[in-house]
Amino acid sequence: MRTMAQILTAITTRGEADRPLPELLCVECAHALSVAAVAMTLMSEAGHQAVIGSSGPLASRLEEIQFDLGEGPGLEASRAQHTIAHDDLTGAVLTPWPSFASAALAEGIVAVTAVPLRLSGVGLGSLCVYRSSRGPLDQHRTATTHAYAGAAVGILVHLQDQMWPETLHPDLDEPMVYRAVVHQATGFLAVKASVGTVDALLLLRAHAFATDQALVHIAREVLSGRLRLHPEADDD
Amino acid sequence: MASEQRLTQVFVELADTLIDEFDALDFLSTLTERTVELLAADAAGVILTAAHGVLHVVASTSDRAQVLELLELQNDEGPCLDCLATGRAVVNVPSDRFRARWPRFSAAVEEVGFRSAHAIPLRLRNSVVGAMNLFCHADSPLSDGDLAVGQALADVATIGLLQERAVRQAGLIAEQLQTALDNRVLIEQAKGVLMASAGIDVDDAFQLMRAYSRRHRQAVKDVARRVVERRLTEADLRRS
Repeated sequence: MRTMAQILTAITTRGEADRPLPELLCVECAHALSVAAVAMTLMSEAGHQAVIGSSGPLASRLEEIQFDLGEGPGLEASRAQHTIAHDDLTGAVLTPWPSFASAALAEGIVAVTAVPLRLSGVGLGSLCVYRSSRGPLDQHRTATTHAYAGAAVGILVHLQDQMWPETLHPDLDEPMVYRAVVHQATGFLAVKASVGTVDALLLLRAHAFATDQALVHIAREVLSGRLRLHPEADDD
Repeated sequence: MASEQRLTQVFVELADTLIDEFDALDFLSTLTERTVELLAADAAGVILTAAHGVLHVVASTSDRAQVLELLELQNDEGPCLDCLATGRAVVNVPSDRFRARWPRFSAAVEEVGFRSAHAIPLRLRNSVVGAMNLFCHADSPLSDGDLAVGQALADVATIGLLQERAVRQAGLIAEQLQTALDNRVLIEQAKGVLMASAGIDVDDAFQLMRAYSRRHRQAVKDVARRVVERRLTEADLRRS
């Protein structure tokens, strides 16, 4: 078992200065647990999300699905502030996120554990561990998962402590650039459809889900004017 | 000199207040009360350093001690300030030297009926977080044993304060992280609002907000918030 301090030391002394720390943490965690994918997500109390680290392409894809749907174990863990564990997604298991569960199964993921990232009573997001074999994590791997979640919080504090209060550290900000277009389209659609930003995002998500396309793609289409999700009459 | 049994009781009491809901003021009040009892002093008080070198009187066993500490701060002289500056205890200073070194402070001490004053640092390695002042009616020097007990009590206090400070700072960072994330999303949404309402592209939308924020000395995130809430239009942003 590695302690939180050992994990942090291992990650910060790897000499891969060009790779962001959250990404290194996810890679290390996936390796230590021998799991298919690990991802780290920020979430504010207002519900804004940002995927800030992933162990590889599969983790990125799973997080994109979770972000696009607005549902999944990571979001549930962030909101509920406790660990969410589903050891077998193949059975007739009811999860609060059926769409995500079937999408994850299609990617070969059959079990998932999501640990909330918390500090001084403030929820910061979650660490998601995706597995391709069913069954619960044993005590040892559960402890390791929580040690990595603790290290993830340590990294967040370490990075943000170097910053001005209201700007994000580049390692946390850069992963957000990819989805900036979704937030722009949210503001855009809020005006065109005369709705609030929360409803506008729901409209975008619903259309992405209904047409089985990526939310980022739908957002680009809306911003370019090629796709209208609002009534003609409201347009000028 | 205090009995060993009583000393042990006090350390257990202080250690107990370090866990669970730590309240710095309650903790320091207990510390000063027990220090007065164990060292046979007549009054005690704690001064803490805060950001930018500002000092705060945070706990004292009597009104008189508090008055003295306030005086000390106002006059910018006294054993406590020397103790904070050097990180060393200032104790048993002979009365003639005491008067010469801190004339106004020594006059104030005598006026309220004390004959001697001492200061013990609250420090950890290079970090001096404050100092504890002791006041005595008699001109009785502190023994080496008294000083050791006083410093041990001060050390417990220091660890308690540093722990509390670390937890508080971490909480602050957690909140800042949330705010920074929300601001980031808000600014993107505001760009989209301007693109839709003014028919401009994403870069122009940001430039418009940034120029306005500079002209009006407002943060971009505050401008963005008002744009998203539709309290600022494109026309408002262009108006100089």
